[in-house]
Amino acid sequence: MASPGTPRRQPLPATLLVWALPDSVVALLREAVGRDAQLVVVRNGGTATDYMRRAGSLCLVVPVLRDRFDPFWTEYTVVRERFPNVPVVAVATPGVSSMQAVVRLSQLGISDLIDGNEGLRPDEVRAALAKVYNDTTMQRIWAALESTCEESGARCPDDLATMLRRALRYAHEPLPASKLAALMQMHERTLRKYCESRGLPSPQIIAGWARLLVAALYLDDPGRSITSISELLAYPTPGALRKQILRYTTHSPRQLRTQGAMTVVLQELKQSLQMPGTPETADTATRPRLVLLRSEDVA
Amino acid sequence: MTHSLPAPIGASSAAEWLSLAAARLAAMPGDVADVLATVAMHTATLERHPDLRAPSAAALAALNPALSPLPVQQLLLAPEHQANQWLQLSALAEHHGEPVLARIIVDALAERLGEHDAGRATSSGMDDVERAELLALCFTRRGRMARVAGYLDDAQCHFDEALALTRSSWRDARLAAELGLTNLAVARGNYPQVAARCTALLAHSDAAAVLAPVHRVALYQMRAIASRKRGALIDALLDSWQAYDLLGHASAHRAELIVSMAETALECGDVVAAEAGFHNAEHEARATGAPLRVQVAAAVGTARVALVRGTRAVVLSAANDLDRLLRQPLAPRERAQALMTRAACYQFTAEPSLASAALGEARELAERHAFHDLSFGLEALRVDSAATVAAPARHPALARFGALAAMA
Repeated sequence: MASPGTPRRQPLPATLLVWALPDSVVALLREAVGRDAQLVVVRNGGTATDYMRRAGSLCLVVPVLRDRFDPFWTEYTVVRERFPNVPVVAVATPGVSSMQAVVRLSQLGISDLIDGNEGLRPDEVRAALAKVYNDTTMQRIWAALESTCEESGARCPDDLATMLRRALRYAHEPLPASKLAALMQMHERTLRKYCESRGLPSPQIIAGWARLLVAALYLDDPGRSITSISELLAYPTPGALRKQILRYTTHSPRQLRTQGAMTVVLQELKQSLQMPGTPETADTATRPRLVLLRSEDVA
Repeated sequence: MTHSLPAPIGASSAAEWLSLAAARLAAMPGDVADVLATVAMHTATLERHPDLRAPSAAALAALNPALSPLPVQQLLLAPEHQANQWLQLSALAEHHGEPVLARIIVDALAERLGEHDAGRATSSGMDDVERAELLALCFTRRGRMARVAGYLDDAQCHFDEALALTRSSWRDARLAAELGLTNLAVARGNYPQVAARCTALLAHSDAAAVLAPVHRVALYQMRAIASRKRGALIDALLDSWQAYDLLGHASAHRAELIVSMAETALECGDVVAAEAGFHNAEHEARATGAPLRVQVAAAVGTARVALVRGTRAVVLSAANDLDRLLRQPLAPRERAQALMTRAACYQFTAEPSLASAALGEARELAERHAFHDLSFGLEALRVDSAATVAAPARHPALARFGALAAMA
């Protein structure tokens, strides 16, 4: 367990594609990610496209260019149209960026925006990249949940889907009901009543499932111990994570690993939430496992 | 239970909001889009830091021209306090019609004040009283946003939470919570409670120390609304004048107050004073960039006067104004009020199917958000659209308003 006050080393995307950024920013990015991610500098859209076709877990880091006639914009727009789901971190730098450019870039979708006008800090850059990693992890877990539901003809209710998706984005840290309520822009009491009136589990249970889904993703990674996962997800002790797994799934972490943690957790979640549709017997052996993308996979 | 899930635009982080709102921002006037993008960028910075820190000096300097017209929100909290600066940025986003961004800022601030993890705030060097006060301020902001969005039960929860945090001290947050609950009673149409709360607050000795003129104006104005709705029209006018005399001329609230007085004049049957009042308020609201709710109230009043006068060309012109406003992103309550009046215009121009559609939409909004007073109004409109009000004798307060309205 990490000692109090020690910042957790959150995982980062495996590859950073850095495009059209000044050398000083590239150097700072290198310092921020250290050996935890591969950093690739690309000069044009063609090279960026090549990397994006090949690499699995990556993040594009681009500048906020004020000059709307810079060739970057045309190439970037084409790349975004081809790869709309690749996360993008935009970096605003002095003398180069403007707020109109921020809006223009945002129209193509951004995952985070770093203000470098008063100097960039490695910890801030790292926090932005970790957030991107969380977002992509959430998207992959969500896709797996949808696919599990589709296979059995079930459907996750829209309101529950919204809550789960938001909870998943913040599932790397303790997620009390009050935080989930804030993410839903409601008071905790209102959210609780809302869940009751729609026959949904309590916000605390939904938040618990979101954390468990992320834990399951890590459990499917044979290189990670339960201790390292509990540290990564900021559980107070490995025992707390074990207890939660047992309480929600009636399986031990070891059993989950053997049977495919994500598959089992998704099935248990579907059953516990009583999603409409015909439940099937879980045939975990035939299901593909969701494999966590690590930096080493691409490096 | 009146809460439904947030609209699809509802984002949970500044960057997400920026991506979702970018198309709208691109269509806005450049200076407003710049302000909102700047606020979002600095909020993204706040979200990345575990501790509370002030927005950068450069950011505040860039936003200063946009911030300066906003009314002071907290009187006792130092303007340079880092939490106050974020609350100001939140108010700025709200002022420009972006409550989701405003809420994201408040949520990020509350999180750094230890809302979800009390241990988190201990490292910031704040004592418990200060932390409770600041958190309570966050709750009052959330309450206000929920009320404006029509989620009245949710607003009640937020204000209750703020009161629970500040029960022992009369500072900014306690006052904001008390005023918020009074405003909420107005939104619910609970006028006896509005009158009782306003009277109690104005007479409260502890509250007196923190009641600034702007707060007294709000209390007199709300009590005037309650009196008007309960038929005590002269009491309403007298309270409005109390507010007016406290307000002076240089205030963004003036247009709102004049609308309120014009509404009372209309209820009194003084159509001339009401017409001049609504006209003045409409003009002033546009000139000063008053919030949409004031513009809607003025346009609704102008249309009601036109309907009373019965001149087709004037009714059509007023209806066009309402159509223009209905295309704007109005809060549910304002939208319902505009739709009700638009329906009356359709009835006047003998277009019953359009009137019925507008009334249907207004009824749906009133029911969904539990706007009881509007529900009763809609029912009355359905039962008898030709109700008339007998004009009482002209009270000096009404004569004074007639003279004021005619001046412009």
